Amino acid sequence: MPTINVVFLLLLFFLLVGTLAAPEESEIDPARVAEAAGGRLPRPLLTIASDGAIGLDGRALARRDLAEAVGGLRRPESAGAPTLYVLAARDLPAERLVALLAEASAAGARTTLVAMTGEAGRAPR
Amino acid sequence: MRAAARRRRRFMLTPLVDVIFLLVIFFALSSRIAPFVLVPVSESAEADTSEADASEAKSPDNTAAAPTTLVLSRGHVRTGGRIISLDVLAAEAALWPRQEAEPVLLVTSRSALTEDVAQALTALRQARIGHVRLVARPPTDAAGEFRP
Repeated sequence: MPTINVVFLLLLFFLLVGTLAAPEESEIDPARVAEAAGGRLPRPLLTIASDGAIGLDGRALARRDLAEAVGGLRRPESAGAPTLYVLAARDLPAERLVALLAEASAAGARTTLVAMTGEAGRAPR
Repeated sequence: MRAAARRRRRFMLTPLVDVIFLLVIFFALSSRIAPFVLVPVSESAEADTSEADASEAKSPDNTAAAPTTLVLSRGHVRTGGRIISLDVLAAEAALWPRQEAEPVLLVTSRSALTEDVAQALTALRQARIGHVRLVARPPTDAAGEFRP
């Protein structure tokens, strides 16, 4: 049946275009900024939950292992510093965020905050 | 006989169910695949120095004082006794004279949240202020005021 062919093609398309997120990445509600942009969830992704628990690419990470994990991102073939994407909960105190960002930066990574486009006051989904 | 066969073909539910399943899968996945915005925070420690050297090479065309320290609190920033809401920070910052060599210090106070950091960084980037350094408030500040 040709219908089922089209259905399978569509399924393949959505599977390739979409990005599957780990459960703890889905639970984090990122900050909203008034900027129009669209992108997939980038990697390597450092997640910081509201209670300060951190994880790297879906794996839970102890705070003391952060520098080592960031150091492990550096690949010998690429000369530049690796970029670490940080998905932090919107209600995380900024002091904790800044401390973690400074730690990652000191370990040799560029840091980029992952936010979502939307209005600031909107209730989390 | 032929008319009966045609009538039977009309009620094929399988493709309909397939399409419905696809829609379900699509919405289940895309509800979390929201458009993400990437807000650059910092260069790495070694890349930072080279960028500072490059920006120092440019001569600033305007020597009037622009705010170089912004204290970030919940929903607003404070600079030089003025309180600027984060909603209007991009428009305000676009009017500041350019001081390329001087990094803008964004100091987070105790009430600031991650959302404020993201909004302030986005606003400063929209105002084409490229060199922003994010620092936490010094812990030895009892009065609630930032003193550099």
